[in-house]
Amino acid sequence: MKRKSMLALLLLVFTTGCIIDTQIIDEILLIQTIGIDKHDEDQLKYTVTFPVFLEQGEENTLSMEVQSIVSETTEEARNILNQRAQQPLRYGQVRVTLFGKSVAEEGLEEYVKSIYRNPRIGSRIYLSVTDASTEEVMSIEGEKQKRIGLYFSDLIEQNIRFESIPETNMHLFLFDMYSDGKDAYLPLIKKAEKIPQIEGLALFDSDRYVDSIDLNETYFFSQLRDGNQGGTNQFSVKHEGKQEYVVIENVFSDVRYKEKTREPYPVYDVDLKVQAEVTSFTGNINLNNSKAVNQVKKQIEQSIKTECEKLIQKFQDANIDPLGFGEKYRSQTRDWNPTKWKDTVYPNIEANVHVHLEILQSGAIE
Amino acid sequence: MHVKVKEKFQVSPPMVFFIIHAMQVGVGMLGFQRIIAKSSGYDSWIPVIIAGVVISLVIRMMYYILKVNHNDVIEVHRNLFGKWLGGLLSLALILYFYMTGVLVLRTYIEVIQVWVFEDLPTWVLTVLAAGFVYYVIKGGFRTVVGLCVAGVFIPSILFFILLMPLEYADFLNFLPIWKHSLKDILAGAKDTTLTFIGFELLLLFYPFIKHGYRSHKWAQLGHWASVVVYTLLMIVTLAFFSEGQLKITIWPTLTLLKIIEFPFIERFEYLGISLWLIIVVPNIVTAFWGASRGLKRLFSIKQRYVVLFMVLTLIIVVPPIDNRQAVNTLNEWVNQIGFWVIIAYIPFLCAVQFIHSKWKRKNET
Amino acid sequence: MKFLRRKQQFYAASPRSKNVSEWLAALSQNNEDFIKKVLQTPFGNLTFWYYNSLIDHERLNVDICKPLKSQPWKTAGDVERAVYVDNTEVTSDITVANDKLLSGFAACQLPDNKNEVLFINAPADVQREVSVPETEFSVIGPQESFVEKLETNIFLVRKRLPIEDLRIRKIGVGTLSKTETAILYIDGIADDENVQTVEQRIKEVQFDEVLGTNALAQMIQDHSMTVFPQFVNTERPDRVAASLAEGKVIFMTNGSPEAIVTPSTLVEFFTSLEDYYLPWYIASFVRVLRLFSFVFSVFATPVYVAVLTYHYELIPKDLLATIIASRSNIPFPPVLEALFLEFTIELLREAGARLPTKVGQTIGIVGGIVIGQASVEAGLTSNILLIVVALAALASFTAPVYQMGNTVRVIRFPFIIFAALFGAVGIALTLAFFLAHLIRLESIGRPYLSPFYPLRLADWKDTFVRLPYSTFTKRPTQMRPESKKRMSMAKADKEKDIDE
Repeated sequence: MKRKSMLALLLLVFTTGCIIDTQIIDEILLIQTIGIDKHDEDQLKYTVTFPVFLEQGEENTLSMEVQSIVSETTEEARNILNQRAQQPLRYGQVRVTLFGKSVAEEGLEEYVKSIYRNPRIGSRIYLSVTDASTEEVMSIEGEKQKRIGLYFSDLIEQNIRFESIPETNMHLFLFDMYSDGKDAYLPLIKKAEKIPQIEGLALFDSDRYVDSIDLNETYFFSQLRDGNQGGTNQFSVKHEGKQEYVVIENVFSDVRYKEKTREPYPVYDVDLKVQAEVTSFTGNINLNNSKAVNQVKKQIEQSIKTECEKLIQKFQDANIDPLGFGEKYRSQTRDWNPTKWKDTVYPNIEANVHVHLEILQSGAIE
Repeated sequence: MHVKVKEKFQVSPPMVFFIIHAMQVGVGMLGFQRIIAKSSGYDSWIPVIIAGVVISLVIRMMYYILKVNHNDVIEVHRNLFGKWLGGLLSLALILYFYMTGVLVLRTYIEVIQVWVFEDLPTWVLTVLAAGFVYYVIKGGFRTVVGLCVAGVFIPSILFFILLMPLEYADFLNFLPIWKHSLKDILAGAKDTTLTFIGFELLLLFYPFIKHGYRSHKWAQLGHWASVVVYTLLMIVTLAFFSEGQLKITIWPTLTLLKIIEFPFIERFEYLGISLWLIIVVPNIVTAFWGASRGLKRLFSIKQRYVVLFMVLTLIIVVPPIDNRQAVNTLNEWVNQIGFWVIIAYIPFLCAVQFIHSKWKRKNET
Repeated sequence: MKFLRRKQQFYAASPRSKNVSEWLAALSQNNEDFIKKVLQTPFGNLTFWYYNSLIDHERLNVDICKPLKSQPWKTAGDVERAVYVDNTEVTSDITVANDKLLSGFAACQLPDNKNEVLFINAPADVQREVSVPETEFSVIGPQESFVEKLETNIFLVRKRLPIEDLRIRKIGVGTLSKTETAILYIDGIADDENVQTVEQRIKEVQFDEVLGTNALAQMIQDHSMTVFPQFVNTERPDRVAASLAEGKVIFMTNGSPEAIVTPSTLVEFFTSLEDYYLPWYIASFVRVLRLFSFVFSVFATPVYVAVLTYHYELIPKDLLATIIASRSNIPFPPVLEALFLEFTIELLREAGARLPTKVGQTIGIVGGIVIGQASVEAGLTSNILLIVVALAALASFTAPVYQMGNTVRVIRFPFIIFAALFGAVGIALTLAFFLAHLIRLESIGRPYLSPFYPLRLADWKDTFVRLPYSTFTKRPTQMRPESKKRMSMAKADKEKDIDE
């Protein structure tokens, strides 16, 4: 009795075994990059890249395939793609989704939501906006074409690690987008000299792309947003009557927001503490001389301050809040009203940036 | 009909900690955050604690009832309401336990179908689970408890891993504290009680505990351990998601796991869902053990046959619940019943018992 | 027990005559090695009967015949006093006589007594020297192991536990083999219930030929439908002594160089005696390593199969290209590939075990390298899987008790099959099943998973890690020892200040 039931169970297991579709790794095509762009008025261009292994005797070579589909919706595009493919296309290894500028301007929510809904796709994937059409950005010639699938994810990852842009991924984008008092940003990719490069940040109002900042502004944006640990920037200073350039690398920075008054409109003190080292400079500034250092420091502090305040003003003019002043306001308000904040309060807030720069060292030579 | 359980089959009082904790932490933990946040938003950690206090009182009441009778709820029903009415109440309670078992199993299969295998037919896992349930319950109550212990220890590593998403935590979300009305908070607390469902099985396994009443502190400890786990998870979730984002996320716990990445493995949720099986299994098994034990006590039939019968009905009952709506409906039903069992029925039973004892004492003197 | 329930006919001894002398005479006609020898002495003739092969002839001549020639004797009592042998007995019972003759006694018949025979002990003895343990080898620590002779083995244990409370009970097991079995325990430490259970079960064994200790262990174990060994078997006297001191019950049989330790728990199968000779931190490190290797050995291949068959999402992007490249030429699904390699490894292991040591090693190395390399080049397996399987096999060798190594080899297969059917969920399901199975297992009625379930936190100090001896103040509670204290901490507790 016992043995028979065991046998029956085993038999059952084996017959049912074939019910689930296997996803054997070398029998599926793994999409690594998705591009979504406008084609015509109401048509989308859906581009995917995936690696293909060509078996050539004992040697096998990796090649990258890029395919584009024009259709009304992304779902339909996926279906057509699957019909065309020799092996099933799978989304579990997607690393980057690129959005064309025109799509981004109309709003990304539906696309991002459909990615978020798909449990196959990870939360850490990068989203990015391209300055030109995605297809154009994604077509690279030469050796780099072979790595096109991972090219964009490596590019963004490297820039995050190098701290030239603040950390970003789909989760952070969704967090900001669905937050009342905060607006989202994404890296902006542009093709320069036939090679895609990070251009700066694309700034969003809710899910619509409205404005962008370049890499220089991104440096200050990162400082203001979460006190970045690294990042390098060049400042021009006047030294002994001459115009010189100093490059500093942040070692540590910290930012604090303090609400000074609320009425009639909130005034914020932004304390930015930066510890940095001088990596190079032009001219002959003696950095062992504390007076000279002080002079340089003062000037850099001043230019950080003006840049930051300019940036905040720019955000206010575009009525977007990527720095999250709204969150800070909300966390101290019991009758929080997002619309009122956005329409009347935010454009009128005032932010005073106070920079405290500390120069730690200046390299191994005098 | 006063059946005393032999000492050989009893478990020591500390084991109650594991049973209560294992029963409360289950498949509900994957998605409870969203349901509570619907009514209490960023204050959702408060209702968890409130519900914790309420349920702690309910456990106290259960111990009062059981202590007076020194037996399980079947006996209590018979003593208080007589053979027929009491039997009917017992049967209803048994059906409820059976349904919780079915619900947990079906919900877990649902999670697997959404997150891992879209094309997995429900009946495959049901059959495997049925075989497993039968095997475990045949080993007796001690085996069931052993599974509870394993279900607490082995996945405990997951709780530490669930702290890792704090990398993206934004604690500003919590401020200002308590901005929702008391009504919203209480509505949240009501939803939270549902996640704690499962401890009522104590009503049935009480005679299986050595020195029954001494296990009260362990039961409370087990319950508060669950409260701590739920509160911590709630805090992590609220710091991790923005409110709008949380509202569209059905299984926030799995989405939390999704962000975790190790150099050798990405997408931790696949491992998480699989390991969750070890958490879910004690739930299912204990529920069915309770139901079968109840039937045995009620009708004096051999538990072996009852279990076999239950396992077979499982194969018939579960597969027809084949879409998300059906699972949701079942969820709402069982949760409603569970809520009233905890909040209304047990206090009612406690009150009746109290009056009964008073009246009895008066009659004696 | 129920081993022979279905057999209709038992073996029965051939009919015997009533009179001892007649029986002896008949015996010598049927058996060619049963010998009749007449000793002529100045005081009369004595007739000796014995099995030629079972008697030590030197002893017979020097200790028995020689004194009888010089010492005057008349009755059986005189003879007993005359010989230089202590173990003698006079009997007329044929059953007793039969047992005596078969266990190395010589029968001595006095001329005027036809009904009674005197038995004098002069057994032949063939014995292997006590040698180095082979399967439970340790680098440091004592290098002696049990031999096939029961008395020597008991001697080895007694030498380590010179107390009168070390009790030994002997039982003959097997209707044909009558294998001498000894149960060892320390009175006052071992739980009486355990001793009784073991004794009872051994007495109830009805099998005809009990091959040895391990065969007997299988006849008395609690569950036969399991892949997990329920008793530790050991060839080390030090392990036996240590187990006895913890309150365990040991049994061993004559003819087997092993002892069985009961009750046993799962954890014990992962402890080596060396853990107690090494410093505690190193021992703990080794234990953790072993535990890890057990987990790795069981799960490595199934995880490979699950990930490559269903969960490609889990693979980090830098590994992806490597894995796809290694798989792209292979025509089989990952399961078949894995089963093929596992099968090959098992084959090598089995071949290595059956061959003489030196040839075996060569087979292992040559087979491993050649077959592995060839199958990768032929495109039958991927080289990543080859690494995984080889590591898993290596890890399975770390199990210090041989039977557990076998178990690890076997339980991998259900995991692989379920991984191929249901991916990671299948692995978890199999794990849950094995957990339930382990929870149900018992060793002579004591829980097998102790101290994890039932939870005995006090016993944890000797499980995953081995804490210093100063923490071992009490015996493990799992055996329910009758006296619990192991040492008094009074002296150790005194705290001293610096430089005092």
